[in-house]
Amino acid sequence: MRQRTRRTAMALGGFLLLLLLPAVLPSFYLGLVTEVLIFGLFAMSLNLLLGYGGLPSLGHAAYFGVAGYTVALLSFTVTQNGWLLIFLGLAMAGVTAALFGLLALRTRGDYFLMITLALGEVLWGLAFKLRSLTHAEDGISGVARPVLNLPWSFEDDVAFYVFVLVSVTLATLLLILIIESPFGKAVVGVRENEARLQVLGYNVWLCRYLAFVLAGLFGGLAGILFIFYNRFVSPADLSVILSAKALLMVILGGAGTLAGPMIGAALLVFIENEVSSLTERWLLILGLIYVVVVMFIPAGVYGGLKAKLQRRSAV
Amino acid sequence: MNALVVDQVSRRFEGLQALNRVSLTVQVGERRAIIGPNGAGKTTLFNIINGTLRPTTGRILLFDRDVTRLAPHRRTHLGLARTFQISALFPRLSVYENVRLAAQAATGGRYAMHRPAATLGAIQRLCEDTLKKWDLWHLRREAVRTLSYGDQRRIEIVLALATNPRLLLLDEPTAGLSLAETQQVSSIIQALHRQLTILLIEHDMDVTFELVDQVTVLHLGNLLADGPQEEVRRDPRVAEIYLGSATEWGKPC
Ligand SMILES: Nc1ncnc2c1ncn2[C@@H]1O[C@H](COP(=O)(O)OP(=O)(O)OP(=O)(O)O)[C@@H](O)[C@H]1O
Ligand SMILES: [Mg+2]
Repeated sequence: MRQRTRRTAMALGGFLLLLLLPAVLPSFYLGLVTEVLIFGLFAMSLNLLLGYGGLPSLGHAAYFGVAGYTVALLSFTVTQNGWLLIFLGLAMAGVTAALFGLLALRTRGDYFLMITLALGEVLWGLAFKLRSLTHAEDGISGVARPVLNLPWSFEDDVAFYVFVLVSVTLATLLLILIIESPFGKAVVGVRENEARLQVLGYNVWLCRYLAFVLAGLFGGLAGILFIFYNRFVSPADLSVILSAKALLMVILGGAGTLAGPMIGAALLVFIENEVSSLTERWLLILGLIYVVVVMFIPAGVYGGLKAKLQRRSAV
Repeated sequence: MNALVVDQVSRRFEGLQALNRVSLTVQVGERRAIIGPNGAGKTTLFNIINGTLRPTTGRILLFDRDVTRLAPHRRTHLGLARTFQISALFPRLSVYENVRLAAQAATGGRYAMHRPAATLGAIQRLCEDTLKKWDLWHLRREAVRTLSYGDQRRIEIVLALATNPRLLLLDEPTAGLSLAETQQVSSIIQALHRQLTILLIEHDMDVTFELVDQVTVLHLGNLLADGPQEEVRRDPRVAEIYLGSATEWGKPC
């Protein structure tokens, strides 16, 4: 219990610190932190599948991109209402995940990885094919910041940062609740021993499917925040490169840990920012990071640290 | 009422006939052993009863209901539980978390998302009772894979019982245990309430004859003998297949 209060206090402190960040941080870096939060949420949503459920998806960008395109397209044609756009973006991401889950969850392991990859590539291809709608590789630009009928305008970068911070915090709390709930425990049970969980009376398929759809929804939320932040969506937001990046964030930070994906996202966003100004070969660097992590810190930065601390306190 | 009816069940694996028209009726409250040499089809029969495998032909009835096409977890809801020949636990999770997954299943709210599992009183109470009853309370924080083999075998049975079954399938619960551990497990099984129907696969004949009234003998997928244990023990065909294998047979118990 004491540990729990301490953890709550630390989380609250962290939140307040982040809230005060705009007061000290130049706007360029505030932008980077905004990106960290958004991609951190995206990585956390994938972690629900990969880390907790043991399902290595390589198509998670699908939900990010579908939600982004939905918001972008509808904001020009249907509505400017931010709440409605968010809802519709989530709905499209959810429907996509509900469909893809039906197909992907017929397989396991490497096949699951390949089919999620293939499904993601279908959407990526569609984004090119439906040129009149999506402008193919030119993408859709000029999306406005969300209009939410609140006393603030989110056109302002600081206000928008606070909006992202609050959204990501609420989503994180929801994710924690899911992970700590009986359902979340069952998802870990699927990862650990499917046969045993089944004879205990769990519908193993349903556990996986719900986890898949939830991961898609949270991934979609990240995509929505990103389109509002970036004001631009293109096939890159549906691409396997983005999916692989999310996978790398999770593994880099520590799969199956709460804070790992956020830390992985922070590392990757900052490394990308530094490196891409020095070299064109950012993808090569990504690959190298992946190899180093898998070989030397397979539990991830945060995961490895956590295990070390636990071992020390056990002695 | 019958707890279990196996009706003309056959199962082929490619070229191999693992079970061949096996029929079997188990009444409520009965304790029955399934014996037979390695590869006889005993575990395959369990897999078909619990739904992990479908029979090539034949039917399975649980408590007078045809479950041949029912998924394994639905059969659990009808009161079936099983243990595995090779321990199948959640190895990286703690003893507490293992038991909690069973407790969640037993209390019904197994897919609930609205509250942390740690705040759900019914689940916690069931975990605590179970852990104390089986003398696992002091081990609750240990990862299951760090426990002794004997403790892991015991937890196999504990998890199966935590779902409060009416029919329990035990697949070689004492295999690989020391003499003392074997006796411990054997007395656990003996002490289970008498309305619980038990099917037991066991190679240790002392244990078998101590625990069961009825014996079914499988051999190469065929049902060789079936009846009260005294009768089956006197059956010359049974003696023959056991003399032909390494297992001791007819040792006084
Ligand atoms: N999934 C499977 N695929 C192919 N063959 C199988 C499969 N499961 C079992 N078999 C074969 O079916 C036969 C019966 O196996 P089963 O495991 O039921 O035997 P058993 O009586 O439990 O033996 P043991 O005492 O060794 O546990 C064996 O020859 C085995 O190799
Ligand atoms: Mg067997």
